[in-house]
Amino acid sequence: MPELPERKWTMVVNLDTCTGCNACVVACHAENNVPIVSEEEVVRGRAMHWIRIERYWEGEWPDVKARYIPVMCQQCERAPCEPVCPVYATLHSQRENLNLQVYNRCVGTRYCQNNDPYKVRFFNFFDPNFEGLLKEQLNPDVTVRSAGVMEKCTFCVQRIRRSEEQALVADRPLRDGEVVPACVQACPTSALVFGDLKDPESEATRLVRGNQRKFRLLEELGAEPQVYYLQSGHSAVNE
Amino acid sequence: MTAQRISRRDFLRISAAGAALSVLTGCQNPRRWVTLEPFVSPPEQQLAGVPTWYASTCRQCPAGCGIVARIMNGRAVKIEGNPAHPLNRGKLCARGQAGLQVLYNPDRLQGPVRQEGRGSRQFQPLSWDDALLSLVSKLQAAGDKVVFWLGSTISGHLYDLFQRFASAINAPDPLVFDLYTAFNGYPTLIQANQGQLPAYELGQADVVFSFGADFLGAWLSSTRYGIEFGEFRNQSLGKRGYLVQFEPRMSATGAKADRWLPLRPGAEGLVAQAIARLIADQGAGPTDRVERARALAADVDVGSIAEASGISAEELGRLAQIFAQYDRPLAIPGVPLAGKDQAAGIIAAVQVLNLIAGVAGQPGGQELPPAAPGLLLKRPAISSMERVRQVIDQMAGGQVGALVVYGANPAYELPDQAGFAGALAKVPFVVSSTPIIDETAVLADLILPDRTYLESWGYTVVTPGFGEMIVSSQQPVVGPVFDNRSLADVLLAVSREIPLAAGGLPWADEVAFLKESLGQLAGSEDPERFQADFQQHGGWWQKTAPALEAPETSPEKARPLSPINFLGDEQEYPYYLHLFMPTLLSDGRGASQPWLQGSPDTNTTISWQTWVEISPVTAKRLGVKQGDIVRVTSPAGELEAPVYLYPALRPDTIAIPLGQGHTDFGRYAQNRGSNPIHLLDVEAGGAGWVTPRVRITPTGKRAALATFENQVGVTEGFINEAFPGR
Amino acid sequence: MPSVEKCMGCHKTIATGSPAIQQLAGYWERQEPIPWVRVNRLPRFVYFSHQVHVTVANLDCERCHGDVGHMAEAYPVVTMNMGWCLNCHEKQPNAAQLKDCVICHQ
Repeated sequence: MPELPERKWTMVVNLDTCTGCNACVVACHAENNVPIVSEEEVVRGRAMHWIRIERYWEGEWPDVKARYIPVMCQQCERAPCEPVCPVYATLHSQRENLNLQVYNRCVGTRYCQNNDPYKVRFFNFFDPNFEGLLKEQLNPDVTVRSAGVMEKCTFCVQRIRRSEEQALVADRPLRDGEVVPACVQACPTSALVFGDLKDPESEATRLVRGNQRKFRLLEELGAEPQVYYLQSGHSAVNE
Repeated sequence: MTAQRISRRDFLRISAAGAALSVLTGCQNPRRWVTLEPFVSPPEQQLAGVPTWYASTCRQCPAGCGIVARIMNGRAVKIEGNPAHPLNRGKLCARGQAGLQVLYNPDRLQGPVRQEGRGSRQFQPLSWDDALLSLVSKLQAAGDKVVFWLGSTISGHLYDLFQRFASAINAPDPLVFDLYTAFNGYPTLIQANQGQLPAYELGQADVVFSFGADFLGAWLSSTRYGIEFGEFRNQSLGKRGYLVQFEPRMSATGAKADRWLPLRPGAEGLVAQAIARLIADQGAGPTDRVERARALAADVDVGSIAEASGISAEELGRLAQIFAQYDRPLAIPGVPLAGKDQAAGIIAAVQVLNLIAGVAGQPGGQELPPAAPGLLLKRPAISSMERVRQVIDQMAGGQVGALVVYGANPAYELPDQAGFAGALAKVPFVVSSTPIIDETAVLADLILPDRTYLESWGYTVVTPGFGEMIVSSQQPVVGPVFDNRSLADVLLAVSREIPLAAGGLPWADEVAFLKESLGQLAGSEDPERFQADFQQHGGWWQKTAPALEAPETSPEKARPLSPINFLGDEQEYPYYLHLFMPTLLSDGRGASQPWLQGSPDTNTTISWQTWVEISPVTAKRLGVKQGDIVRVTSPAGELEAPVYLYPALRPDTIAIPLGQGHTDFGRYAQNRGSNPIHLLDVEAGGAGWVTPRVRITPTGKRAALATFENQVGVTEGFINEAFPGR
Repeated sequence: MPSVEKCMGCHKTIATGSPAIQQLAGYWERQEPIPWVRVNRLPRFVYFSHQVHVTVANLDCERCHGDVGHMAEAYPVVTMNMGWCLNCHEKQPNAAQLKDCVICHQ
C-alpha cells in the first residue's frame, strides 16, 4: 500500500456572491441523508441542516441590510468538540485534516455539541423517518444515522475518499477540483470553493493566499477553523 | 425491523439487491441473517454498487436546466446540474435538487382512480383499460367542447400532441396557465419582448437597476441568474458590478444589492420614467444617450414621482447619473409589477432605460430574441389572463363538455374570486393527470396519474437560451416506479378510438413521435446516432443566428404612467399587500417535497409555515409581537397567520409568501399555512391581477414559529399549546 | 450478487441436471429473486471497497473468503469485525494512515 498524501481540506466561501438561495442546503440533505425535521421539532430547536444560511440584519429602517453567511462544520484543526468526547467518537483525521464523527461509537452524550462554538453539530432525537418510497432516495455511500447519534458536515468525506481511491487505483495524484462536495457542486454563483491547502496551485490556496478580504469565524477562539470567508467587496461606483 | 423488511421486499421489485441494505438505519444491531435478493433481470447498464449517470431536463420550473441523475442499483439517489448544459453549466437550484422527492413521493398514486362524487375524496382504483375506455367515451360525448388546461413545465412533445389532438377534434388550442408563470408576469414579459422571454446578461454589466425583479429568487431561471450574478460580482480585472434594487420588501436580490431602495409598491414604472427624464434633463452621460433620452423619456414631473415613490428627487438624480455614466448599465423589470394592472406600461418604462443606454443586443445588456429559430419543435405558449377568464366564463356557461388538466393546479392557483371552482362544477367531465392528489384532482372525476419527469421522455426548447439555441433532452433516468402510463401514450391510445382524432395522431407510441419530432435536428447526421447523442449529452445546442433588431422606439413608450390602482379603500384597508414567491416552495408546487418544506426560508429562517411579514415600526403601532396571529383582510378575502417582524419592509406594506395553504397535495403539504392568493382579485375582462390593500387585526392568539434562528420566549408549555394533541 | 438472468445465461445449458441448478431454474421460471443468504457481512456503517483491496493491495479473494471453489456450502472463514480489519491494516508500512477512522467510517 503506497503512502497516502496528507491533505488540508478547506472551504472558501465568497460572501460577496452568496445569494442565500438554499441550493447548498438541499444538495447536502440529498447527498448526506440528512433527515428533515417536523414543524414541531423545528420549534423545539431540533432542526438539522449540516449547512445553513445565517442571515444577519444590519441597521435600522430604511437603511437596512441583510447579510448571508453559509455555515457548515468548520473542520477545526484544534477542534473544541474533540477532546470532550468520552468515547472517541469525535476525533481528528491527521491525514485528511478533517474532524470526524464515528457514528457507531457515538453514545449521544452531546458534550461535543455543547463545546462546539459554531453550533454545527446536530443530534438525532429520533430515528429518521423516510416515509414510503422516500427511502429510495438515500445515498448508499453515506450511513443513515439512528436516534441518539450526533452528526455534522463531513466535507462530503465519502466523495473525498471515493476520489482518492480512484486516483489510487489509477496510480495518479488527485487533481484540484476532482473532489467536489455536494454544496459546492450545486452553488449557482460559485460562492463556495473547495480544495486542498497543501496543494500550492489549488484554486482554494490561490483564493486564500494573501487575500485581504479573508477571515474566519470566531478566529479568536484559536480553534483554527478550516473554512475561510471572503468579505463582501465594493464596486467602484460613486454613490 | 420487521416492518422495514416488509417494505423493503415491496420495493425490491423496482430497485436493486445490495442497495436495499442501505435503507435500514445504520447503527442498529445487525440481524444475524441477512438475505441478498438480486434482480431477476437487472435494469439496463446497472452494475451493483457502481453509479450510472443519465442526463435529462429539470421540470420543477419552466426554465429548462439540464440535469444528470446519479443512479445506484436502479435507484435515483442524487440530481445534479449537467456540466455540459449551456443554460445552467453544472449548477442546480434547491428546487432542482429536490426533484427526487417528486419521483419518490410517498403520496404518489399507484394507478388511475375514479372519484364518486366530486370533492368526496373517495377514490376508487380502476384498471388502465377501464380508465381509458371511460376517457374515450367522455371525450367523445364532449365533442369539440374539450378544454386542455396545461402547466408551463410541460414537455414540448406533449404540448405538441395536445395541440394536435385539440385541433383534430376541433377543440380550442390548449390553455397554458400556472401560478409560476402568471405571478412572474410571463405573458406580459413575452408580449413586450417580441414574443420571447427576455434574457439579461448581467454577468458583464457594470450597473444593474432591478425594478422589483427578484432574479436570485424564484424568477425566470434562478440557477442561470445565479451564475450571471456570480460573474457580475467577479468580472475580469477585478471589476465588480453595482446592483440597485427597487422593491417594497427586501428579497434575496435586494439583500445582495449595493443600494436597496424601498419604493412604494407599484411605483416601479414611475421611478423608471423619472430616471429617464432626469438623464434627458441633466444631460447625464454620453451625448448619444442624452439624445435618445430626450427622444424617449416620458414627460413626467420628477418632483411628484419623488413624492409618490418615496425616493427623493436628489436620490433620483444621483441614480440617473449612475445609470447614464457607465458603459454597460442594465435595467430589469420584475415580478410584482408584472402582475399589476399597468404591467405592460411599467415593463415598457423600464425598457426605455435600456434603449437609452443602447445596451439591447450588447454584451452585458438585454439579449435580443434570436431570428426565427426555424424549428418545428414546440414551446408551450403561455396564455394570458384574459384567456383564462374567457375559459372560466365558458365553463360557467356550460359550454365546456370536458376539462383535461395536466401539470397545473388551477383550483389552488387562482383566487377564489376568479370563480374557478364554481365554473368547474358546470363541466360534466373533469380529468386530471397529477401524480399526487391535488386541489384540482379533488374536483375531478377521473385521475390518470402521469409518470413523473424523471420517468418520462421529452424535450424543452429553452428560451431564452442566453445566446444559444438549446433543445434540452428529457429521458427516464429510472424505470417507472409504478405502473403508470405516460400521458403522451394515453393521448395516442385515446386518439385511436376517436375517429376525428385518429388521423391527426398516427404514431404508434410516444417514442416514435418524439423521434420524428427530433429528427429535424439531426440534419445530415444519422438519426439514430443523433438520438443517442441527444439523450446522452442532455440535449442539442448551438450559437444562435443573428438576433432580431432592437425594438422600435415608438412614441407609445413615452406615455407617462399614472400611479397603480390598488383594490380597496385607503381608510378601511391601510396597508399595501406585497405577495412574493419563496425560493423553495415557489408557487406551491414545492409543498409536497419535504426537503423544500423543511429547509428554512433564507430571510426569516421559517420552514413548514405561512407567515405575515410586518415592519417592526408597524408592529409597534399595532401592538403585535413576533408569533402573534393576525387576520389579514382584503376586499377579496382573508387569512390568519403568525407575524414575523421583518425589518426590511416598508411600514405601509404587509408581505406574505405564496406556497402553503394546500387542502390536498399529499401529507407534507396538506392543511399547512394559508394560501394568500385568495386575497387577490382578478380584474374582470382585464389582463392582470389586481393587488389589494389590506387591513390587519390582531386575533389575540399566538403561534410557535418554526424558525431555525433562535427565538426568545418559546417554552415547552407554549409548544404544547401550539401543537395540541401531539 | 449477479442477477438471476446472468446465472441463467450459462445454466440454461450447463449442469441442468443438478438439483441446485434446477432450483435456480425454478426461480427464473417464476421470475422471482433468489433470497441468497449472506455469508460475509459488514455492518452498514462501514465502507469497504473490493477494488482498492484487490488492485492496490493485491490481495487474493481467498485471503478473506477462503477456498470457496472447494466448499460444498459457502461459510465464513474469518469473523469480519474491526479487530480483524485492523489486524491487517496495522501490518502495512503506512499503518498509521490505514488506521484512520475515515478509511472505513463515512
